[in-house]
Amino acid sequence: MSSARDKIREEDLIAYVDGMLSPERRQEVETYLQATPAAARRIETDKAIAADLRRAFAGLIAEAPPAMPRAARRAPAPLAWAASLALALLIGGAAGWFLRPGGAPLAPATGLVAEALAAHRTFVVEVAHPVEVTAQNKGHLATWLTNRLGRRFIVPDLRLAGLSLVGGRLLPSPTEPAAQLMYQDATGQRVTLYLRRGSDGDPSFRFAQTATEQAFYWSDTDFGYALTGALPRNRLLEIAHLLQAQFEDKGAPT
Amino acid sequence: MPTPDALAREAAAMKRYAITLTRDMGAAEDLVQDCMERALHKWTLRREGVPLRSWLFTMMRNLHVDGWRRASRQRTVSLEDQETPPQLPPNQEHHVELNRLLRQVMDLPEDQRAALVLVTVEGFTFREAAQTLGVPEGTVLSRVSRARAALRKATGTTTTPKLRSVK
Repeated sequence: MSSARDKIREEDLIAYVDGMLSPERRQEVETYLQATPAAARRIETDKAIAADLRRAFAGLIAEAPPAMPRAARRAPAPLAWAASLALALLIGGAAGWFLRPGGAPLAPATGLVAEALAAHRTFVVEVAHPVEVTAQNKGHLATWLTNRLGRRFIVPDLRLAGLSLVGGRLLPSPTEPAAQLMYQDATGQRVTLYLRRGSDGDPSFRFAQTATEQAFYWSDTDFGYALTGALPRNRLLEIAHLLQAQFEDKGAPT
Repeated sequence: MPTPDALAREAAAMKRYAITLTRDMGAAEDLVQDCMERALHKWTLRREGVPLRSWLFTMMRNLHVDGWRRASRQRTVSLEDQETPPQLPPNQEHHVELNRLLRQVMDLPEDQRAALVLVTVEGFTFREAAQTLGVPEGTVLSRVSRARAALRKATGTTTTPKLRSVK
């Protein structure tokens, strides 16, 4: 054990901050950090600086978004499509907001949403293995989940909401196998979608929260869905609308 | 056929890297535009297997260096152009702390700054960053290491309150 600690080098500490170590090496670094408070403090500082740097750049882009390439400006179709979808989201978002007046006491999370919150907490902090199948193998992910969930499954695209796919995994649930998809934004903020067979027949968005996360959940004919993240409620609801629209479009169970 | 859509998806990343290189919001936007035009022009010459973002970033850095060389040869220091350093406006949360960090990052030598941003902000692996910057992986590592040491020193003992404990 101590021989492994002795071998921890600067490059391990740098790679650790960026989540680029193998799980074994990561474990060794963590053991070393537990025994070396000064190094642990340094890592905390480095991580905080890294997170702040991502936030700062995200803020700069939000303030001055890049213009489209000049050649692309001649192709209005995707932009018009995006604008109309954004408008649909705005309307949908407003509707969802009224459906659920604020201040109503929230029941403790049970069933699907409780499973989703637990799964979210487990994997969203994971650096080395946040997902089982990464976004690079999106086609395989879709085929795999189609087979295991017993439905035609298309991985939803959330780029319109500024979220890119990290990947997905299959999970056990008390009833049927469940799937978790993870997305993240430019700042590294992650959200997860949890779904499994088992509908409560209520397609409206319902809200649940814990001290750190919030979730919207809903059902369609056969499946239940929950979207979880530490994002503002409005933003989370927008994403939920985007997801529901895509499942209705393409992936609705037959 | 070039795909403006694919380029548009890289626009934010390109802007972040352009800010890193130029340290000026106006110059960064110009650099993004130049790079996008060049990319559309050269699209068919793109080699298979090179990730789009790496290809774009390498192109952007070349454009940046060329532009800087041209400018210094002509000795036209852009005094008439109003420079806008990358800073967040007061309506953004934590703008004071984040702006201090931005200034510290922009004060780093360009080599360190680029390596740090590629790895930390863009999530490049050391190998991808090395490929993009045209240096060995070990060089990327030592640049990031030096950048982090400098920022740690500049940040001083004041730790960010946002910090979550490392388990």
